[in-house]
Amino acid sequence: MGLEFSGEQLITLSRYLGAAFSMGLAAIGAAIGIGIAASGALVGIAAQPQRQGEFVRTMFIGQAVAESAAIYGLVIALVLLFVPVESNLQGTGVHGSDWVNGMSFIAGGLAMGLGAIGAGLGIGIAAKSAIESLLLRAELSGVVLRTMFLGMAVAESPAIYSLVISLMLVFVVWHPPDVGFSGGDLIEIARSLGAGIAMGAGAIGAAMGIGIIASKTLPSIARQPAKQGALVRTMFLSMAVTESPAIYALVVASILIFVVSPSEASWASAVRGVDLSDFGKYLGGAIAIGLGTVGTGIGLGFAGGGAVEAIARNPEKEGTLVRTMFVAMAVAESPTIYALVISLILLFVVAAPEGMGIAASVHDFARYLGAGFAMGAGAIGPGLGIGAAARGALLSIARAPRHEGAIVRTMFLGMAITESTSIYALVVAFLLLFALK
Amino acid sequence: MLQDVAQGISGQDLVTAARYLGAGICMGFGAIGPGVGEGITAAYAVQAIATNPEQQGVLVRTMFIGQAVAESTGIYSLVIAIILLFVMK
Repeated sequence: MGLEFSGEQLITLSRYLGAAFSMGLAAIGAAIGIGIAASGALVGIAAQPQRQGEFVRTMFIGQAVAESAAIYGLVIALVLLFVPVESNLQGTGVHGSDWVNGMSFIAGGLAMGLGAIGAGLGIGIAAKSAIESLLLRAELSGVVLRTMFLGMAVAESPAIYSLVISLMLVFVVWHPPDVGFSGGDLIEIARSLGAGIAMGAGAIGAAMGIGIIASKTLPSIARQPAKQGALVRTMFLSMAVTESPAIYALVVASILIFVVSPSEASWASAVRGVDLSDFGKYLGGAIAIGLGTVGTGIGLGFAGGGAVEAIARNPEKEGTLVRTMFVAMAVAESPTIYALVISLILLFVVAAPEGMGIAASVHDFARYLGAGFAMGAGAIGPGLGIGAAARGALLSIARAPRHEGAIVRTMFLGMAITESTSIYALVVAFLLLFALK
Repeated sequence: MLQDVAQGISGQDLVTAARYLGAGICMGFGAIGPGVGEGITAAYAVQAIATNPEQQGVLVRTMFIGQAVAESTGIYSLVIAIILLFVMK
């Protein structure tokens, strides 16, 4: 190419890019969440100016916790900029190991950056609702703040998973020096990039959903303090279910880091058809679960929040409401399950023949990436929509319990239709995986 | 490195790759909107039934109509994806 480019420069630029992703992306969710918390304080002060000290204090607490997500991003960015990490550079030129080690830095940055978005947003939403709850019932501040902290702690957890994956990618996933660029290097790149995207994007929806549940629980406690036991219980139950998409993402990211490894044959030669095909399938599997959890995480949050609100409005119906919540959440979970299935199929089931040519492997690469994107993005809308329908149904049952039958029937009908486009996406993904070459 | 990989690839391979990726992109994005829209419709439908249960028949029918129109764009996306996969060369 004519320009002097060394492995050391590649590692350096990768660290810069990783730092940029880590800080830039993490700031998004935190800043929006902090702004939302401030908006809560403004509403409160306008309504009851004599309590401004209390509202501003609560705002600061919420903002501090929301800020923590951005701090994780800042820490990873600073580590990438200033902390020496073994990269085993060799004298001159660019080698496969430089690409691999560089990419794992970028992947680490992506993992933390993306993973912090949902937590920042969710925590900010919870903080705003804490202030609104204090507006309603000043004497309940102890309970409200305690529950706010609990909810925020759970909302933080997907960002913690992302932090762990990010640290592993930066410090643990690396390759000893090798010469040239072999097929194994390409697969290692897919491994790190895939793990980063899967965990990073996969943490967004769940964290937001958990924050939404907390934000519906706090005003409910303010309205029905006598029922706080049932409300907090339902909050935890629904938060546990809402955590599951982030767990799926953590599982896929862990599989990519710990289970996937290039074969001897890949290391032995330059990039072969099989390697390009495998690169596509690992990336496709990561994208499928990374995108596929966004909508469902938030949708489960709608459902759980709706359940808590409904119980507050009609506490005698707690049994029915919790039961309906579980059923509705199961349906809301289904698009993410499809995405997990496609992801696991890509990771474990599809395999390219050893002697595959480069041309055919380009087809494979496109097929796998296409399938992963189709199912991943295709799960977003239905996840959101089914969750919205669940929330509507739960609130409706609380308002008009006599008509529970009609409400639940219509809920299922509406959910089934909403599910349809995720089925189309599943069909397109299967066609790409198994019906074409 | 890239030169070694590029030697075995023809323009037609890239066209095929674009078909497959395109089908995935088309159906992937295309599933988002109908999911959100139909879900919102269902949510409001059940709330309306709680408000006025005698009108159930009309309400559910209207929900279907609203969801059907929202579905149309999802169908278009599926059709284009299938065309990319099986009709285009």
